[in-house]
Amino acid sequence: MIGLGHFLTLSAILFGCGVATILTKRNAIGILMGVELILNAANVNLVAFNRFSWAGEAVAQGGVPAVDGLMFAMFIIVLAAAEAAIALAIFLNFYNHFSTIDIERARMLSG
Amino acid sequence: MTPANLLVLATVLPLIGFAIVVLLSSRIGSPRFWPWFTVGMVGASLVASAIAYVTFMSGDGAVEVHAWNWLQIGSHADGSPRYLQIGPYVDKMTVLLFAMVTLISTLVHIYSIGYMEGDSRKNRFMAYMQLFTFSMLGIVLGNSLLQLFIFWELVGISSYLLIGFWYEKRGPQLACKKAFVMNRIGDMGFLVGMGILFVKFGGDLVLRAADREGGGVFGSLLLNYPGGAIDALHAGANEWWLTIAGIGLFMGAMGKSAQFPLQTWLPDAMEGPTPVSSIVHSATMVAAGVYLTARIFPLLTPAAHLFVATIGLITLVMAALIACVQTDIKRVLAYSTLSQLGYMVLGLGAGSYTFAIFHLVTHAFFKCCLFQCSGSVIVAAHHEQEMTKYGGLMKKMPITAACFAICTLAIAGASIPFLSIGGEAIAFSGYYSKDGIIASTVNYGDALAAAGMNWGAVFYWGPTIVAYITAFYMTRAFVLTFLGKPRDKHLYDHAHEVNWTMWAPQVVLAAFAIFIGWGFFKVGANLHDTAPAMAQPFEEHEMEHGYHFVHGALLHGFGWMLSIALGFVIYINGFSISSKIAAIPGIAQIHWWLYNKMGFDGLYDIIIVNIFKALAGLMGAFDRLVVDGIVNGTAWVGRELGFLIGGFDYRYVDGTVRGSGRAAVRLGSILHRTQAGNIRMYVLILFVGVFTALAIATPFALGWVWFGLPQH
Amino acid sequence: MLLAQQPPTLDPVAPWLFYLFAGVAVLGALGVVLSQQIVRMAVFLLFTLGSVAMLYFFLAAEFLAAIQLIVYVGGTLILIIFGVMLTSKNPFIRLTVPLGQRIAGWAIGGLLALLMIFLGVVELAGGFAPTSPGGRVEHYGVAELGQNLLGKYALPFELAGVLLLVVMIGAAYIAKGRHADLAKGEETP
Repeated sequence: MIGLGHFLTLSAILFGCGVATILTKRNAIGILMGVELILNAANVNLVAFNRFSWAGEAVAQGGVPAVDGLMFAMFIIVLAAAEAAIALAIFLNFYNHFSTIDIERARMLSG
Repeated sequence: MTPANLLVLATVLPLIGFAIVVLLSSRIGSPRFWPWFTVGMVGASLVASAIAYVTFMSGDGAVEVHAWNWLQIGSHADGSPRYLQIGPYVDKMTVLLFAMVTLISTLVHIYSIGYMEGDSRKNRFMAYMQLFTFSMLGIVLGNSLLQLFIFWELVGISSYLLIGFWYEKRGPQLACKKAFVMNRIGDMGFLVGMGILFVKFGGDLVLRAADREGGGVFGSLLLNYPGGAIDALHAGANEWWLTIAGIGLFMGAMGKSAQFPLQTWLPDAMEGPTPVSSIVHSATMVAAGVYLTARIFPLLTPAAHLFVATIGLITLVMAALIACVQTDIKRVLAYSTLSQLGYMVLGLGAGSYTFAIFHLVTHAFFKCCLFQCSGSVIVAAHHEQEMTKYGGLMKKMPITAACFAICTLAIAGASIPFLSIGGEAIAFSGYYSKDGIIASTVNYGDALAAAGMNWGAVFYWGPTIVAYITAFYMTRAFVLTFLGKPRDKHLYDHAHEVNWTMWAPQVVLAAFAIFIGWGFFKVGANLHDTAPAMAQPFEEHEMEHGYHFVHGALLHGFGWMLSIALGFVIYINGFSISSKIAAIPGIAQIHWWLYNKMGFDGLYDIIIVNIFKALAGLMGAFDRLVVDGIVNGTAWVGRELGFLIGGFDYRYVDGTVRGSGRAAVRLGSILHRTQAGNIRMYVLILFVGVFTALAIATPFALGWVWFGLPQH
Repeated sequence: MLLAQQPPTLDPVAPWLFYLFAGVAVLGALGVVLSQQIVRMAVFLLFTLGSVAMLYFFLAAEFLAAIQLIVYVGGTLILIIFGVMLTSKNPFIRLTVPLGQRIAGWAIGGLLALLMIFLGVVELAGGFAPTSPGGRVEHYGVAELGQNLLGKYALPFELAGVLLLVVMIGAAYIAKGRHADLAKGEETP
């Protein structure tokens, strides 16, 4: 039987993979993929929590479903798309500047 | 194409020309091309109007009305939406005025090419002329009062642009402002009139196109009077409202046609280029007021008619007297325009619809020609406008002098005594229209006298005497300019005939000034057909009675000769005789008073401007004392408070900030070693931090550990 | 402790279907982590995102599943692949990270995942039940989402719209600027 725990586990694994991806890639676009994974993990969480609610409240709801979790997930998808667009624009700019996509080369932030 | 389509086309062509010139003239085309392009546009408009004229006049003369719903404005009593209907309204007056306006506009366009030669903004001037023509045609074409009003305002703005065309100079700046403000005063009356009609007599009267059921105001022209819907409007308590509405609408006409007491802008408007004067004073702007009065004619109650006639009478007498003493050639012509407009308005007030519009048409030709001649003289005289410097210019510029002479005779109403062909006098155009107006005022004055107003006779003696004065002052202007000995040798030596683009329009206009009034051309007869039934109460024998009076009073055609002879005698030697007359005590004061335009400008300055200045001063004082006091007091309190807070700030708040700033700098100098610019390191540290925080928080969140607080 | 309770479940979901898609998603995510070739990573990511979209169906969020497919798989991923093509002379180039750092990354990712699994599954999930009684699948209609978008969430919705506009302009501006400079720089010498 599939419960909330299954979805949370999946989400946690995706999140961990996303973090690991960010930490182990030198390719900027790879890092972007890691970010996408993290966002997706969060989305899975939100949608799952929208489907399940704290024990006891389910009956009180009277069967009228709330969709707040779905709404948040939708906004996150929108923001992820926006973020990806901006990030790729920056990467293109970066590539034009350094002729590579390797973030090791981007050390201009050093203080 | 039907006449209505042709007229719409004729209206739109100048607008297209305006748009094209405004958008493109600075980019492409040679400087010589664009002025001729505008002439082409307005010329095409003239052709369309002429075809419409011929078609319509040869047809059965039925009014052609088209209406399209444009804006919804309110709704009818039954709830159905009421629309502002736009579209053309074509009757014989419309096609006649279209032909007149486009013809004069074309000639003025051609004249402008010569007159504006060398002006760097010539293209813009031509564009404005196009807009002006479009606006005027729109007025004449409109089928409802509101549509007329839209174009009415367009005429206002384009005249503002044209009068103030030389905006670098002070005079045109003030003149265009004055014209605009005076017109606004009149327009306020127009709006009030429309408002009363809308509220009291139903919106249809203002908004709807005319039809045979009497939809709009124009439609009421088609109704029989008395009898029909308009008669019902006149009944009872509504009569007063209708009187006020009629006077209000007429106030709009007073502004545009420069009637007393809003007349002061028109003489000043000559500050604009002379082509502007020639078109403003003839075909477009001042004609709009008379046209409006003619269109609302059926609405005017007897009281409103009396008001209109009185205004016209005052204007025509006053302007004629002022014109006799002015020495600026354009100013003389401007006051003569005022006087002639007074004739038209008096004619409308007296019920002589036909002759008022007839005079509008004939006057347009000779007055346009006169202004063009004066413009030519001014160009030849290097922009000297004072007649005191002129004299003897006939030898130098014969064509202009001849045109001026013909038009002087036309405005004087010259005719050949005791000679007629087929029962019709042989005369210049001005004779037919002006004498018609005077003849009809005889009937009006008699009707007033019969109603117990014994002073009604002034309504026909006034214009009769002014007819003499008109001939006199026009002769004066002609003699002082073209005859006698040159009073300014230098100016005379450099004078020369103008080039053909300037004299050719004059010749055409002069020709029209001779024959446009002849019965053969049926201008008067056609206008008579369009006249509302109420404007034709004059039986034939009553008109005959009027003409008998005119012929008697004007000495059977010798009157104009008398005036002209007097003008010759006095002015052939320049100002030598007239200055002696003007020096006679008593006359001198009158002369001074007239020379200063009867002091209207001064009067307005003293009374109205000062009242407003005083009001403004009062407001200013209130502002300074009360409003400023409050504001300044508040500011003072705020400032004192500010000092207090500032001290606190400096000592304590700033101290804290400076202290934390120093602490941050020290911390930064320690931490900057970790900032190697390696993004991956940053992220790693970030996630380690996240993990640590979560790991520390977990035991508390799950209740394994608590700080001595009771567990829930 | 809530462990004692039997966690409520979603009855209609066939367990093996869930395990299938969840497995694909996890394998895809692991592929993204472990692969060193950017194009392969993109393909693995495609599998993960697609599977997650399938899983949304189990959560009765069909509309969101569609959005996930359209926006993520159809939009964002394509964008990423475009980015790959535009930014590398050789798409199969390897940019490797030192082994020590790689191990640190995996460790921190794994630790975070474990901690979250512990928190979520062991301590939290037991207290939740499907919103609809009896675990019946409720279908959240698109109408409901739309009403929420234009009602309760109208402001965030509008803000998201503005944000997308700004992003569009900003992305175009950022991506374009250097090109122009570069073009100029290439012409002058």
